Amino acid sequence: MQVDHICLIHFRNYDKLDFIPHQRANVIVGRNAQGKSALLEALYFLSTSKSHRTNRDSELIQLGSEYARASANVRRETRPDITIEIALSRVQGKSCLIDNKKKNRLPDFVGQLNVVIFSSFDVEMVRGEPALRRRFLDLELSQISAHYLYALSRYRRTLEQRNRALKLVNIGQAHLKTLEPLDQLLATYGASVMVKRGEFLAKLNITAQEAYRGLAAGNEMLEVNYKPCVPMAGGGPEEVMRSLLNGLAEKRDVDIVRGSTSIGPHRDDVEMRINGVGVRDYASQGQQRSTALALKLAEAMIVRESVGESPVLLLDDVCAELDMQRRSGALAFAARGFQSFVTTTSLEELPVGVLGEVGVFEVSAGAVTQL
Amino acid sequence: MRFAKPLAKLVAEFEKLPGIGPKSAQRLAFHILRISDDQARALAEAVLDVKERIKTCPVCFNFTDQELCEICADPERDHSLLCVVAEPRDVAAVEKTNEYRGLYHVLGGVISPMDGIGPDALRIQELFARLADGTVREVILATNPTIEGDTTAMYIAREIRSTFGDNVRVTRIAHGMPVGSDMDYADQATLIHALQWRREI
Ligand SMILES: [Zn+2]
Repeated sequence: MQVDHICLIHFRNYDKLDFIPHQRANVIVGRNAQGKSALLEALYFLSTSKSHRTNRDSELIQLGSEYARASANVRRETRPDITIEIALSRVQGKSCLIDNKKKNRLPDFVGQLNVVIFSSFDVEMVRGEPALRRRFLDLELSQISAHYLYALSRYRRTLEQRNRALKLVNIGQAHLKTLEPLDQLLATYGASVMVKRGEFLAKLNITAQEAYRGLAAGNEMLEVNYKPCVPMAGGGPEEVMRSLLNGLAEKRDVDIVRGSTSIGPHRDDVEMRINGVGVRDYASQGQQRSTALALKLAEAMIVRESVGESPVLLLDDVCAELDMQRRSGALAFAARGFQSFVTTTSLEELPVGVLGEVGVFEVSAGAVTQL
Repeated sequence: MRFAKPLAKLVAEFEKLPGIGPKSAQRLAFHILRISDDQARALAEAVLDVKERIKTCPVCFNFTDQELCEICADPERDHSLLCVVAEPRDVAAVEKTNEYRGLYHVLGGVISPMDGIGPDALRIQELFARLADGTVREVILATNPTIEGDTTAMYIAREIRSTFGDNVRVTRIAHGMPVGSDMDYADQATLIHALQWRREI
Protein backbone atom coordinates (compact mmCIF):
# COMPACT_ATOMS: atom_id res chain seq x y z
CA MET A 1 0.00 0.00 0.00
CA GLN A 2 1.08 3.57 -0.55
CA VAL A 3 0.36 6.93 0.97
CA ASP A 4 0.04 9.37 -1.90
CA HIS A 5 -1.00 12.55 -0.07
CA ILE A 6 -0.45 13.73 3.50
CA CYS A 7 -2.14 16.78 5.01
CA LEU A 8 -1.30 18.13 8.42
CA ILE A 9 -2.87 21.10 10.17
CA HIS A 10 -1.50 22.36 13.50
CA PHE A 11 0.20 18.98 13.98
CA ARG A 12 3.34 19.25 16.17
CA ASN A 13 5.37 22.03 14.52
CA TYR A 14 3.52 21.83 11.19
CA ASP A 15 1.19 24.76 10.79
CA LYS A 16 -0.11 23.50 7.47
CA LEU A 17 1.44 20.81 5.31
CA ASP A 18 0.37 19.43 1.94
CA PHE A 19 2.84 16.75 1.04
CA ILE A 20 2.87 14.40 -1.94
CA PRO A 21 5.41 11.70 -1.19
CA HIS A 22 7.27 9.47 -3.61
CA GLN A 23 5.59 6.13 -4.32
CA ARG A 24 8.69 4.20 -3.28
CA ALA A 25 11.43 5.60 -1.09
CA ASN A 26 11.27 8.95 0.66
CA VAL A 27 14.41 10.28 2.27
CA ILE A 28 13.61 13.10 4.67
CA VAL A 29 16.63 15.14 5.59
CA GLY A 30 16.81 17.95 8.12
CA ARG A 31 18.36 19.13 11.34
CA ASN A 32 16.85 18.04 14.65
CA ALA A 33 13.50 19.43 15.83
CA GLN A 34 12.50 20.57 12.33
CA GLY A 35 9.66 18.04 11.96
CA LYS A 36 11.24 14.93 10.41
CA SER A 37 10.07 12.59 13.13
CA ALA A 38 6.71 14.35 13.41
CA LEU A 39 5.99 13.43 9.79
CA LEU A 40 6.59 9.75 10.57
CA GLU A 41 4.67 10.14 13.79
CA ALA A 42 1.68 11.47 11.84
CA LEU A 43 1.64 8.37 9.64
CA TYR A 44 1.96 6.10 12.65
CA PHE A 45 -0.82 8.03 14.36
CA LEU A 46 -3.10 7.61 11.34
CA SER A 47 -2.41 3.91 11.37
CA THR A 48 -2.91 3.15 15.07
CA SER A 49 -4.68 6.26 16.45
CA LYS A 50 -1.78 6.57 18.87
CA SER A 51 1.61 8.23 18.80
CA HIS A 52 4.70 6.08 19.23
CA ARG A 53 6.40 8.89 21.14
CA THR A 54 3.80 10.03 23.65
CA ASN A 55 0.70 8.78 25.44
CA ARG A 56 -0.74 12.27 25.57
CA ASP A 57 -2.58 13.18 22.37
CA SER A 58 -2.59 16.85 23.36
CA GLU A 59 1.17 16.98 22.77
CA LEU A 60 0.44 16.46 19.07
CA ILE A 61 -1.47 19.73 18.84
CA GLN A 62 0.70 22.67 17.84
CA LEU A 63 1.41 25.04 20.71
CA GLY A 64 -1.14 27.82 20.79
CA SER A 65 -3.69 25.90 18.69
CA GLU A 66 -6.97 24.40 19.80
CA TYR A 67 -7.01 21.52 17.36
CA ALA A 68 -4.92 19.43 15.02
CA ARG A 69 -5.77 17.42 11.96
CA ALA A 70 -3.88 14.73 10.11
CA SER A 71 -5.09 13.01 6.98
CA ALA A 72 -3.72 10.81 4.24
CA ASN A 73 -4.88 9.23 1.01
CA VAL A 74 -4.02 5.58 1.01
CA ARG A 75 -3.80 3.51 -2.16
CA ARG A 76 -4.30 -0.15 -1.47
CA GLU A 77 -3.96 -3.22 -3.63
CA THR A 78 -6.31 -5.72 -2.04
CA ARG A 79 -8.86 -3.33 -0.55
CA PRO A 80 -10.45 -0.11 -1.82
CA ASP A 81 -8.43 3.11 -1.57
CA ILE A 82 -9.30 5.27 1.43
CA THR A 83 -8.87 8.67 2.96
CA ILE A 84 -7.94 8.30 6.59
CA GLU A 85 -8.16 11.20 9.01
CA ILE A 86 -7.82 12.01 12.69
CA ALA A 87 -9.09 15.24 14.18
CA LEU A 88 -7.83 16.20 17.61
CA SER A 89 -9.30 18.92 19.75
CA ARG A 90 -8.16 20.06 23.17
CA VAL A 91 -11.81 20.24 24.22
CA GLN A 92 -13.54 17.49 22.28
CA GLY A 93 -10.79 14.88 22.12
CA LYS A 94 -10.18 12.62 19.17
CA SER A 95 -12.26 11.61 16.14
CA CYS A 96 -11.08 8.94 13.73
CA LEU A 97 -12.54 9.03 10.24
CA ILE A 98 -12.36 6.83 7.20
CA ASP A 99 -13.69 8.36 3.99
CA ASN A 100 -15.21 11.12 6.13
CA LYS A 101 -17.17 8.62 8.19
CA LYS A 102 -16.52 8.63 11.89
CA LYS A 103 -15.42 5.31 13.37
CA ASN A 104 -16.29 4.94 17.02
CA ARG A 105 -14.79 1.53 17.53
CA LEU A 106 -11.05 1.07 17.42
CA PRO A 107 -11.19 -2.23 15.47
CA ASP A 108 -13.02 -0.40 12.68
CA PHE A 109 -10.17 2.09 12.33
CA VAL A 110 -6.91 0.42 13.27
CA GLY A 111 -5.43 -1.72 10.53
CA GLN A 112 -6.78 0.27 7.58
CA LEU A 113 -3.41 1.91 6.96
CA ASN A 114 -0.63 -0.50 7.88
CA VAL A 115 2.72 0.92 8.92
CA VAL A 116 5.80 -0.54 10.56
CA ILE A 117 8.05 1.89 12.35
CA PHE A 118 11.65 1.58 13.51
CA SER A 119 12.89 4.20 15.94
CA SER A 120 15.09 4.51 19.02
CA PHE A 121 12.16 3.26 21.10
CA ASP A 122 12.51 -0.16 19.52
CA VAL A 123 16.02 -0.57 20.85
CA GLU A 124 14.55 0.12 24.28
CA MET A 125 12.09 -2.66 23.55
CA VAL A 126 14.98 -5.11 23.25
CA ARG A 127 16.89 -4.05 26.34
CA GLY A 128 14.15 -2.67 28.59
CA GLU A 129 11.38 -4.03 30.79
CA PRO A 130 8.98 -6.83 29.73
CA ALA A 131 6.13 -4.30 29.52
CA LEU A 132 7.81 -2.78 26.44
CA ARG A 133 7.89 -6.14 24.69
CA ARG A 134 4.24 -6.78 25.53
CA ARG A 135 3.43 -3.36 24.12
CA PHE A 136 5.23 -4.34 20.91
CA LEU A 137 3.18 -7.55 20.70
CA ASP A 138 -0.07 -5.70 21.36
CA LEU A 139 0.56 -3.00 18.77
CA GLU A 140 1.65 -5.41 16.06
CA LEU A 141 -1.08 -7.94 16.64
CA SER A 142 -3.76 -5.26 16.85
CA GLN A 143 -2.83 -4.19 13.34
CA ILE A 144 -3.24 -7.61 11.84
CA SER A 145 -5.95 -9.18 13.97
CA ALA A 146 -9.26 -7.58 14.92
CA HIS A 147 -9.86 -10.63 17.10
CA TYR A 148 -6.71 -9.86 19.08
CA LEU A 149 -7.63 -6.22 19.64
CA TYR A 150 -11.07 -7.30 20.81
CA ALA A 151 -9.82 -10.04 23.14
CA LEU A 152 -7.15 -7.72 24.55
CA SER A 153 -9.55 -4.91 25.38
CA ARG A 154 -11.97 -7.36 27.01
CA TYR A 155 -9.07 -8.90 28.91
CA ARG A 156 -7.95 -5.52 30.25
CA ARG A 157 -11.42 -4.58 31.41
CA THR A 158 -11.85 -7.95 33.14
CA LEU A 159 -8.47 -7.54 34.79
CA GLU A 160 -9.44 -4.14 36.19
CA GLN A 161 -12.68 -5.58 37.55
CA ARG A 162 -10.94 -8.60 39.04
CA ASN A 163 -8.25 -6.52 40.71
CA ARG A 164 -10.90 -4.37 42.31
CA ALA A 165 -12.88 -7.45 43.35
CA LEU A 166 -9.72 -8.88 44.97
CA LYS A 167 -9.32 -5.74 47.07
CA LEU A 168 -12.99 -5.87 48.08
CA VAL A 169 -12.70 -9.54 49.04
CA ASN A 170 -9.61 -8.75 51.10
CA ILE A 171 -11.47 -6.18 53.23
CA GLY A 172 -14.53 -8.40 53.49
CA GLN A 173 -16.74 -6.28 51.23
CA ALA A 174 -17.18 -8.88 48.49
CA HIS A 175 -17.79 -12.60 48.50
CA LEU A 176 -15.28 -15.05 47.04
CA LYS A 177 -18.00 -16.20 44.64
CA THR A 178 -17.75 -12.87 42.82
CA LEU A 179 -14.28 -13.88 41.65
CA GLU A 180 -15.43 -17.03 39.88
CA PRO A 181 -17.05 -15.51 36.79
CA LEU A 182 -14.22 -12.98 36.60
CA ASP A 183 -11.65 -15.78 36.65
CA GLN A 184 -13.57 -17.56 33.91
CA LEU A 185 -13.74 -14.44 31.72
CA LEU A 186 -10.11 -13.58 32.40
CA ALA A 187 -9.04 -17.09 31.39
CA THR A 188 -11.24 -17.05 28.26
CA TYR A 189 -9.92 -13.75 26.91
CA GLY A 190 -6.44 -14.34 28.30
CA ALA A 191 -6.26 -17.60 26.36
CA SER A 192 -7.32 -15.84 23.13
CA VAL A 193 -4.58 -13.26 23.68
CA MET A 194 -1.93 -15.87 24.46
CA VAL A 195 -2.75 -18.17 21.57
CA LYS A 196 -2.48 -15.25 19.15
CA ARG A 197 0.80 -14.12 20.73
CA GLY A 198 2.16 -17.66 20.46
CA GLU A 199 1.25 -17.92 16.77
CA PHE A 200 2.67 -14.49 16.01
CA LEU A 201 5.94 -15.12 17.81
CA ALA A 202 6.43 -18.49 16.13
CA LYS A 203 6.21 -16.71 12.77
CA LEU A 204 8.28 -13.77 13.99
CA ASN A 205 11.03 -16.13 15.13
CA ILE A 206 11.47 -17.57 11.64
CA THR A 207 11.21 -14.24 9.82
CA ALA A 208 13.43 -12.37 12.29
CA GLN A 209 16.13 -15.02 11.96
CA GLU A 210 16.20 -14.42 8.26
CA ALA A 211 16.15 -10.63 8.61
CA TYR A 212 18.95 -10.79 11.17
CA ARG A 213 21.16 -12.77 8.80
CA GLY A 214 20.83 -9.92 6.30
CA LEU A 215 22.02 -7.38 8.89
CA ALA A 216 24.74 -8.98 10.96
CA ALA A 217 28.17 -10.11 9.93
CA GLY A 218 29.40 -13.63 10.57
CA ASN A 219 27.23 -16.55 11.51
CA GLU A 220 25.21 -15.09 14.33
CA MET A 221 21.83 -16.68 14.84
CA LEU A 222 18.88 -14.84 16.43
CA GLU A 223 16.13 -16.67 18.27
CA VAL A 224 12.87 -15.13 19.48
CA ASN A 225 10.86 -17.12 22.02
CA TYR A 226 7.56 -16.55 23.73
CA LYS A 227 7.77 -16.70 27.53
CA PRO A 228 4.13 -17.13 28.51
CA CYS A 229 2.97 -16.60 32.09
CA VAL A 230 1.73 -20.19 32.34
CA PRO A 231 2.69 -23.35 30.44
CA MET A 232 0.66 -23.48 27.24
CA ALA A 233 0.60 -27.29 26.91
CA GLY A 234 -0.82 -28.23 23.50
CA GLY A 235 -1.31 -24.55 22.79
CA GLY A 236 -5.01 -24.60 21.85
CA PRO A 237 -7.40 -22.06 23.40
CA GLU A 238 -9.04 -24.68 25.65
CA GLU A 239 -5.78 -25.95 27.08
CA VAL A 240 -4.46 -22.45 27.67
CA MET A 241 -7.72 -21.44 29.30
CA ARG A 242 -7.51 -24.39 31.67
CA SER A 243 -3.88 -23.64 32.39
CA LEU A 244 -4.81 -20.04 33.23
CA LEU A 245 -7.72 -21.12 35.42
CA ASN A 246 -5.41 -23.43 37.37
CA GLY A 247 -2.86 -20.67 37.77
CA LEU A 248 -5.50 -18.18 38.94
CA ALA A 249 -6.87 -20.70 41.47
CA GLU A 250 -3.39 -21.49 42.77
CA LYS A 251 -2.48 -17.84 43.25
CA ARG A 252 -5.87 -16.72 44.48
CA ASP A 253 -4.89 -16.31 48.13
CA VAL A 254 -1.74 -14.38 47.25
CA ASP A 255 -3.70 -12.24 44.78
CA ILE A 256 -6.31 -11.36 47.41
CA VAL A 257 -3.63 -10.17 49.83
CA ARG A 258 -1.84 -8.19 47.11
CA GLY A 259 -5.01 -6.86 45.55
CA SER A 260 -3.71 -7.66 42.08
CA THR A 261 -3.66 -10.54 39.62
CA SER A 262 -0.30 -12.31 39.37
CA ILE A 263 -1.15 -14.72 36.52
CA GLY A 264 -2.09 -13.78 32.99
CA PRO A 265 -0.80 -12.44 29.69
CA HIS A 266 -0.17 -9.08 31.37
CA ARG A 267 2.86 -10.89 32.84
CA ASP A 268 4.13 -12.43 29.58
CA ASP A 269 7.58 -11.76 28.17
CA VAL A 270 9.51 -12.36 24.98
CA GLU A 271 13.03 -13.74 25.13
CA MET A 272 15.64 -13.00 22.47
CA ARG A 273 18.91 -14.85 22.14
CA ILE A 274 21.89 -14.59 19.82
CA ASN A 275 23.78 -17.86 19.52
CA GLY A 276 22.00 -18.96 22.67
CA VAL A 277 22.96 -15.92 24.76
CA GLY A 278 20.31 -13.50 26.10
CA VAL A 279 20.21 -10.28 24.06
CA ARG A 280 18.72 -8.16 26.82
CA ASP A 281 21.49 -8.75 29.35
CA TYR A 282 24.52 -9.98 27.46
CA ALA A 283 24.54 -8.68 23.89
CA SER A 284 26.56 -5.73 22.59
CA GLN A 285 24.77 -2.50 21.70
CA GLY A 286 25.27 -3.28 18.03
CA GLN A 287 23.65 -6.69 18.46
CA GLN A 288 20.77 -5.18 20.40
CA ARG A 289 20.18 -2.66 17.63
CA SER A 290 20.36 -5.34 14.96
CA THR A 291 17.89 -7.41 16.94
CA ALA A 292 15.44 -4.51 17.22
CA LEU A 293 15.71 -3.78 13.52
CA ALA A 294 15.41 -7.46 12.58
CA LEU A 295 12.20 -7.69 14.64
CA LYS A 296 10.76 -4.70 12.83
CA LEU A 297 11.68 -5.94 9.39
CA ALA A 298 10.26 -9.34 10.27
CA GLU A 299 7.09 -7.66 11.42
CA ALA A 300 6.83 -5.91 8.06
CA MET A 301 7.04 -9.30 6.35
CA ILE A 302 4.35 -10.73 8.62
CA VAL A 303 2.03 -7.80 8.04
CA ARG A 304 2.60 -8.17 4.29
CA GLU A 305 1.72 -11.84 4.51
CA SER A 306 -1.35 -11.52 6.71
CA VAL A 307 -2.84 -8.36 5.20
CA GLY A 308 -1.91 -9.35 1.66
CA GLU A 309 -0.07 -6.14 0.84
CA SER A 310 3.05 -4.31 1.92
CA PRO A 311 2.85 -1.99 4.91
CA VAL A 312 4.48 1.44 4.76
CA LEU A 313 7.94 1.36 6.36
CA LEU A 314 8.95 4.21 8.65
CA LEU A 315 12.63 4.29 9.55
CA ASP A 316 13.30 7.09 11.99
CA ASP A 317 16.85 8.34 12.31
CA VAL A 318 18.51 5.05 11.36
CA CYS A 319 21.93 6.74 11.31
CA ALA A 320 21.81 7.41 15.03
CA GLU A 321 20.94 3.80 15.78
CA LEU A 322 22.78 1.75 13.19
CA ASP A 323 26.27 1.51 11.70
CA MET A 324 26.82 1.84 7.94
CA GLN A 325 26.55 -1.88 7.23
CA ARG A 326 23.26 -2.19 9.07
CA ARG A 327 21.93 0.99 7.44
CA SER A 328 22.58 -0.58 4.06
CA GLY A 329 20.84 -3.74 5.20
CA ALA A 330 17.79 -1.79 6.37
CA LEU A 331 17.53 0.26 3.18
CA ALA A 332 18.04 -2.79 0.97
CA PHE A 333 15.14 -4.38 2.79
CA ALA A 334 12.99 -1.28 2.25
CA ALA A 335 13.73 -1.45 -1.45
CA ARG A 336 12.04 -4.85 -1.58
CA GLY A 337 8.64 -3.50 -2.60
CA PHE A 338 7.80 -1.22 0.32
CA GLN A 339 6.93 2.44 0.30
CA SER A 340 9.33 3.85 2.86
CA PHE A 341 10.00 7.05 4.78
CA VAL A 342 13.56 7.34 6.05
CA THR A 343 14.72 10.29 8.13
CA THR A 344 18.30 11.44 8.51
CA THR A 345 20.18 14.50 9.68
CA SER A 346 22.68 14.19 6.85
CA LEU A 347 22.53 12.70 3.36
CA GLU A 348 26.19 11.68 3.43
CA GLU A 349 25.53 9.26 6.24
CA LEU A 350 22.86 7.41 4.33
CA PRO A 351 23.63 4.92 1.54
CA VAL A 352 20.78 6.39 -0.52
CA GLY A 353 21.80 4.50 -3.66
CA VAL A 354 20.64 1.23 -2.09
CA LEU A 355 17.06 2.50 -2.16
CA GLY A 356 16.76 2.68 -5.94
CA GLU A 357 13.89 4.96 -6.97
CA VAL A 358 13.82 7.73 -4.38
CA GLY A 359 12.45 11.17 -3.59
CA VAL A 360 14.63 13.33 -1.37
CA PHE A 361 12.95 16.02 0.73
CA GLU A 362 14.24 18.59 3.14
CA VAL A 363 12.33 19.47 6.28
CA SER A 364 12.97 22.83 7.85
CA ALA A 365 10.81 24.57 10.46
CA GLY A 366 7.73 22.58 9.59
CA ALA A 367 8.00 22.97 5.79
CA VAL A 368 8.87 20.21 3.32
CA THR A 369 10.67 20.94 0.04
CA GLN A 370 11.81 18.51 -2.63
CA LEU A 371 15.57 18.48 -3.31
CA MET B 1 -26.01 36.88 28.61
CA ARG B 2 -27.92 36.58 31.87
CA PHE B 3 -31.48 35.20 31.88
CA ALA B 4 -34.44 36.38 33.91
CA LYS B 5 -34.60 34.31 37.11
CA PRO B 6 -37.43 31.85 36.27
CA LEU B 7 -35.88 31.19 32.87
CA ALA B 8 -32.42 30.68 34.39
CA LYS B 9 -33.94 28.22 36.83
CA LEU B 10 -35.57 26.20 34.05
CA VAL B 11 -32.30 26.13 32.09
CA ALA B 12 -30.48 24.93 35.21
CA GLU B 13 -33.05 22.14 35.72
CA PHE B 14 -32.74 20.95 32.12
CA GLU B 15 -28.98 20.90 32.46
CA LYS B 16 -29.26 18.34 35.24
CA LEU B 17 -30.84 15.85 32.82
CA PRO B 18 -28.63 13.17 31.28
CA GLY B 19 -27.19 14.02 27.88
CA ILE B 20 -28.28 17.68 28.07
CA GLY B 21 -25.52 20.27 27.84
CA PRO B 22 -25.85 24.03 28.44
CA LYS B 23 -26.77 24.70 24.80
CA SER B 24 -29.50 22.08 24.61
CA ALA B 25 -30.81 23.22 27.98
CA GLN B 26 -31.22 26.76 26.67
CA ARG B 27 -32.85 25.54 23.49
CA LEU B 28 -35.37 23.47 25.47
CA ALA B 29 -36.12 26.34 27.83
CA PHE B 30 -36.76 28.74 24.93
CA HIS B 31 -38.95 26.11 23.35
CA ILE B 32 -41.04 25.91 26.53
CA LEU B 33 -41.47 29.72 26.41
CA ARG B 34 -42.89 29.44 22.90
CA ILE B 35 -45.42 26.64 23.50
CA SER B 36 -48.98 27.27 24.67
CA ASP B 37 -49.94 27.32 28.36
CA ASP B 38 -51.91 24.10 27.87
CA GLN B 39 -48.94 22.32 26.39
CA ALA B 40 -46.71 23.50 29.22
CA ARG B 41 -49.22 22.37 31.82
CA ALA B 42 -49.56 18.96 30.15
CA LEU B 43 -45.79 18.54 30.29
CA ALA B 44 -45.56 19.56 33.95
CA GLU B 45 -48.44 17.24 34.87
CA ALA B 46 -46.88 14.33 33.00
CA VAL B 47 -43.68 14.82 34.97
CA LEU B 48 -45.48 14.87 38.29
CA ASP B 49 -47.80 12.03 37.30
CA VAL B 50 -44.97 9.72 36.45
CA LYS B 51 -43.36 10.38 39.82
CA GLU B 52 -46.60 9.79 41.72
CA ARG B 53 -48.02 6.82 39.86
CA ILE B 54 -45.14 4.78 38.53
CA LYS B 55 -43.94 2.15 40.98
CA THR B 56 -41.88 -0.96 40.57
CA CYS B 57 -43.70 -4.25 40.18
CA PRO B 58 -43.16 -6.25 43.41
CA VAL B 59 -42.62 -9.45 41.39
CA CYS B 60 -40.45 -8.55 38.39
CA PHE B 61 -39.33 -5.02 39.39
CA ASN B 62 -40.29 -3.53 36.05
CA PHE B 63 -42.01 -0.13 36.14
CA THR B 64 -45.79 -0.22 36.42
CA ASP B 65 -48.78 1.90 37.38
CA GLN B 66 -50.68 -1.17 38.60
CA GLU B 67 -50.32 -3.25 41.75
CA LEU B 68 -48.86 -6.02 39.61
CA CYS B 69 -47.37 -5.11 36.21
CA GLU B 70 -49.29 -5.99 33.03
CA ILE B 71 -46.83 -8.67 32.06
CA CYS B 72 -46.81 -10.44 35.42
CA ALA B 73 -50.61 -10.21 35.59
CA ASP B 74 -51.17 -11.64 32.09
CA PRO B 75 -52.32 -15.29 32.35
CA GLU B 76 -51.68 -15.72 28.60
CA ARG B 77 -47.97 -15.35 29.06
CA ASP B 78 -45.71 -18.33 29.67
CA HIS B 79 -45.04 -18.34 33.41
CA SER B 80 -42.45 -21.11 33.10
CA LEU B 81 -40.10 -18.84 31.16
CA LEU B 82 -38.14 -16.01 32.80
CA CYS B 83 -35.97 -13.45 31.04
CA VAL B 84 -33.43 -11.76 33.35
CA VAL B 85 -32.41 -8.22 32.36
CA ALA B 86 -30.39 -5.44 33.97
CA GLU B 87 -32.76 -2.48 33.62
CA PRO B 88 -36.45 -1.76 32.91
CA ARG B 89 -35.48 -0.30 29.53
CA ASP B 90 -34.20 -3.76 28.55
CA VAL B 91 -37.72 -5.14 29.12
CA ALA B 92 -39.02 -2.58 26.64
CA ALA B 93 -36.33 -3.60 24.14
CA VAL B 94 -37.20 -7.30 24.30
CA GLU B 95 -40.94 -6.56 24.21
CA LYS B 96 -40.49 -4.54 21.04
CA THR B 97 -39.38 -7.67 19.21
CA ASN B 98 -42.83 -9.26 19.81
CA GLU B 99 -41.07 -12.60 19.95
CA TYR B 100 -40.96 -13.29 23.63
CA ARG B 101 -44.00 -14.55 25.56
CA GLY B 102 -42.50 -15.30 28.98
CA LEU B 103 -42.00 -13.16 32.10
CA TYR B 104 -39.16 -10.88 33.19
CA HIS B 105 -36.93 -10.21 36.14
CA VAL B 106 -35.21 -6.82 36.40
CA LEU B 107 -31.96 -6.97 38.36
CA GLY B 108 -31.52 -3.22 38.74
CA GLY B 109 -27.95 -3.21 37.42
CA VAL B 110 -24.99 -5.49 36.79
CA ILE B 111 -22.09 -6.71 38.92
CA SER B 112 -19.24 -4.21 38.71
CA PRO B 113 -16.62 -4.26 41.48
CA MET B 114 -15.13 -1.02 40.11
CA ASP B 115 -18.42 0.72 40.84
CA GLY B 116 -18.79 -1.07 44.15
CA ILE B 117 -21.73 -3.12 42.87
CA GLY B 118 -21.73 -6.71 44.06
CA PRO B 119 -24.42 -9.41 43.71
CA ASP B 120 -26.06 -8.27 46.95
CA ALA B 121 -26.79 -4.86 45.48
CA LEU B 122 -28.90 -6.51 42.75
CA ARG B 123 -32.25 -8.30 42.97
CA ILE B 124 -30.69 -11.73 42.83
CA GLN B 125 -32.17 -12.98 46.10
CA GLU B 126 -35.58 -11.95 44.81
CA LEU B 127 -34.88 -13.94 41.63
CA PHE B 128 -34.12 -17.06 43.65
CA ALA B 129 -37.26 -16.56 45.71
CA ARG B 130 -39.23 -16.60 42.44
CA LEU B 131 -37.53 -19.79 41.27
CA ALA B 132 -38.18 -21.62 44.54
CA ASP B 133 -41.75 -22.78 43.79
CA GLY B 134 -40.74 -24.68 40.64
CA THR B 135 -43.04 -22.87 38.17
CA VAL B 136 -40.12 -21.44 36.20
CA ARG B 137 -38.42 -24.10 34.05
CA GLU B 138 -36.10 -21.91 32.03
CA VAL B 139 -34.16 -18.75 32.80
CA ILE B 140 -32.84 -16.69 29.89
CA LEU B 141 -29.99 -14.42 30.91
CA ALA B 142 -30.24 -11.31 28.76
CA THR B 143 -27.78 -8.89 30.32
CA ASN B 144 -25.72 -6.90 27.81
CA PRO B 145 -22.57 -8.50 26.38
CA THR B 146 -20.23 -6.22 28.33
CA ILE B 147 -17.71 -7.64 30.80
CA GLU B 148 -20.08 -6.64 33.60
CA GLY B 149 -23.13 -8.11 31.87
CA ASP B 150 -21.27 -11.35 31.20
CA THR B 151 -19.96 -11.49 34.77
CA THR B 152 -23.50 -11.10 36.06
CA ALA B 153 -24.89 -13.76 33.71
CA MET B 154 -22.18 -16.24 34.65
CA TYR B 155 -22.60 -15.56 38.33
CA ILE B 156 -26.35 -16.16 38.20
CA ALA B 157 -25.96 -19.24 35.99
CA ARG B 158 -23.59 -20.82 38.49
CA GLU B 159 -25.83 -20.01 41.42
CA ILE B 160 -28.91 -21.42 39.72
CA ARG B 161 -27.09 -24.61 38.84
CA SER B 162 -25.78 -25.12 42.33
CA THR B 163 -29.19 -24.43 43.90
CA PHE B 164 -31.63 -26.02 41.45
CA GLY B 165 -29.45 -28.45 39.50
CA ASP B 166 -31.21 -29.64 36.35
CA ASN B 167 -34.65 -28.46 37.44
CA VAL B 168 -34.12 -25.03 35.89
CA ARG B 169 -32.61 -24.67 32.45
CA VAL B 170 -30.28 -21.69 32.03
CA THR B 171 -29.54 -20.09 28.67
CA ARG B 172 -27.71 -16.98 27.59
CA ILE B 173 -29.38 -14.81 24.99
CA ALA B 174 -27.61 -14.93 21.63
CA HIS B 175 -26.45 -11.36 21.30
CA GLY B 176 -26.16 -11.20 17.58
CA MET B 177 -26.13 -8.73 14.81
CA PRO B 178 -28.15 -5.54 15.09
CA VAL B 179 -31.02 -5.83 12.62
CA GLY B 180 -30.27 -4.52 9.14
CA SER B 181 -26.53 -4.31 9.53
CA ASP B 182 -24.37 -5.98 6.94
CA MET B 183 -21.79 -8.36 8.23
CA ASP B 184 -18.76 -6.42 7.13
CA TYR B 185 -15.67 -5.46 9.04
CA ALA B 186 -17.64 -3.01 11.17
CA ASP B 187 -19.46 -5.87 12.85
CA GLN B 188 -16.42 -7.93 13.48
CA ALA B 189 -16.43 -7.23 17.19
CA THR B 190 -20.03 -8.40 17.47
CA LEU B 191 -19.34 -11.51 15.45
CA ILE B 192 -16.29 -12.35 17.47
CA HIS B 193 -18.29 -11.94 20.61
CA ALA B 194 -20.95 -14.32 19.37
CA LEU B 195 -18.25 -16.86 18.54
CA GLN B 196 -16.51 -16.43 21.86
CA TRP B 197 -19.72 -17.25 23.62
CA ARG B 198 -21.08 -20.00 21.46
CA ARG B 199 -20.39 -22.78 23.97
CA GLU B 200 -20.76 -20.72 27.09
CA ILE B 201 -23.35 -21.32 29.86
ZN1 LIG C 1 -44.06 -7.57 37.01
